[in-house]
Amino acid sequence: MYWLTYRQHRVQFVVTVAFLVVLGAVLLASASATAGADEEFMSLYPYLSSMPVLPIAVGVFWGAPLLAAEYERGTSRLAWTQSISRGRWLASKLGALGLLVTLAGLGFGLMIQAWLNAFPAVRTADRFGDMSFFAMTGVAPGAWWLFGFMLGTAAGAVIRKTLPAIAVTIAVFVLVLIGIFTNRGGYAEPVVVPADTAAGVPAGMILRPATLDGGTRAAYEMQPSDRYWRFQWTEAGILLTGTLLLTAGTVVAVRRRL
Amino acid sequence: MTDTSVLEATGLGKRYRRKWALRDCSLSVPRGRVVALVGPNGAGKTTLLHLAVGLLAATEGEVRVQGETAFLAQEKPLYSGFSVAEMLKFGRLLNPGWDDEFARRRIDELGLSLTSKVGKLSGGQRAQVALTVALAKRPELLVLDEPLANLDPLARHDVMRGLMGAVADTGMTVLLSSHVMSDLENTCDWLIVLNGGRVQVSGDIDELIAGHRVLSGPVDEAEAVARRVDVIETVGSSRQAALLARTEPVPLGPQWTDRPVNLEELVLAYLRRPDAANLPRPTLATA
Repeated sequence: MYWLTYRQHRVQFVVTVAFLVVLGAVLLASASATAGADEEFMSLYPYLSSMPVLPIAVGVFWGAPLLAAEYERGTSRLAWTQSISRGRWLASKLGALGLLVTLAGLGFGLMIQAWLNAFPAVRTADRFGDMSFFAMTGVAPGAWWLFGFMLGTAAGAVIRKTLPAIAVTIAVFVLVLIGIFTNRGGYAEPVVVPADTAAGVPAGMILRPATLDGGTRAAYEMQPSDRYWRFQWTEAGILLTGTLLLTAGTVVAVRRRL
Repeated sequence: MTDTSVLEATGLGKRYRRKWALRDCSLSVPRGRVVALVGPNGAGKTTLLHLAVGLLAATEGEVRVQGETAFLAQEKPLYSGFSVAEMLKFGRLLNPGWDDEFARRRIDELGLSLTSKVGKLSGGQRAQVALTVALAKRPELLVLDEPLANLDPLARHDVMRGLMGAVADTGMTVLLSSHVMSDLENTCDWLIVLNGGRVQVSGDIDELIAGHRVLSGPVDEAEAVARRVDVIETVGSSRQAALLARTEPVPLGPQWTDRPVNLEELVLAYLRRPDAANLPRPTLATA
């Protein structure tokens, strides 16, 4: 089964590895540049900050065709009438590809983190305060990539046509992305800190302006930086719950239909 | 399940939303036979075959198959990006009973190259590769859905000859569906007629042929004859009637003649009379 899985999905595998290698090389070159740190950081920032949508590509190229292409070409009738059961076929494919996608997402996250570490003096190089970097460091990218993959797979299993499954994958992923990015600040009760201290703006996720001492003192409502891992696991938990639901839906669709 | 049947369906039914594709289907496929499943388009042939090989789950009843089963779907699906060798590897890795030597020899005998891309083969060659993948599983029951559809006459002949060769070598049971009777007349020895989702005829082809006659005579005497024999279908002009009847040769009036039926006439007569049935007597079902 592992040979079959690799043989059918090797293009996606090779392209993903190539992408990570190229990205790694670019990040390495950027991190080791000796020029002004702020300029170097800002030269890549616009590109990197859009990369939380990368799991869409995972869903579109890894997930959506996984079942939809088999249905479209009739090869599901070939694959599911061999001696190994349909359940084992599905488990092998989802297991192997899901693991690869998760590892790729985590590897992507490690590279982004290593790049951020090269800019300790740049204030915006903040893995917690910047909502894009939060989704691209720690355990979150692994969960995001796996979620994108299962979203595409489930769409293909239910719709059974690759192109409409791709459209649904993109639409649903964007909605989930917006939903999570706008509600992330509520993973824990925020704290209110004064804004007028000598230290300036405190490090962390700034949510909204607030006031202290009966409205006389400017303040921020925020999530302090030491909540980073708690928030990472909360976000991963939300995405993995979604992934599990999508997996269950895929299993039901595959078992029920031809 | 008896030792002599390789597939048995009892009260089998499949419903898609509100419409029943197959209903109340009970039949048994005797071991070692080459069984023709015939019926008009939409009769439920594909549904029955998909239920038999486990691609579909039954809405009611059950179907049981004994031993290893191979299935060749109507479109003869293969992975078009794979080479022939990779298709054989697919079969080998997914089937413990795979006979790789047989598969390679058969590809070689067909004059195909192991390195050819499946997507670049002709329709007939693809059908042969798909048949090879099915046969190399060394199944006890081989199920084929319209195996000759979309093939040119030469490829039809080659595929059928390859199939019959494999049957002669292994003694496996074959269940194949078709709506073209001429493909089946010389190759099959058991007939199942499916009509409107129900099994209408199931029996040994030689016995069915021997058990039916076409009686011809004057129209005004046809009714009297019809009272004596079991008439499946009446056709004829204003003066002359032809009755296709389930009967042994019987003595009739001097103006009457009778002759044996051929398979196509027999099937068509039953298909036009969905209420007539010819199912095996209990002794035949286990014979």
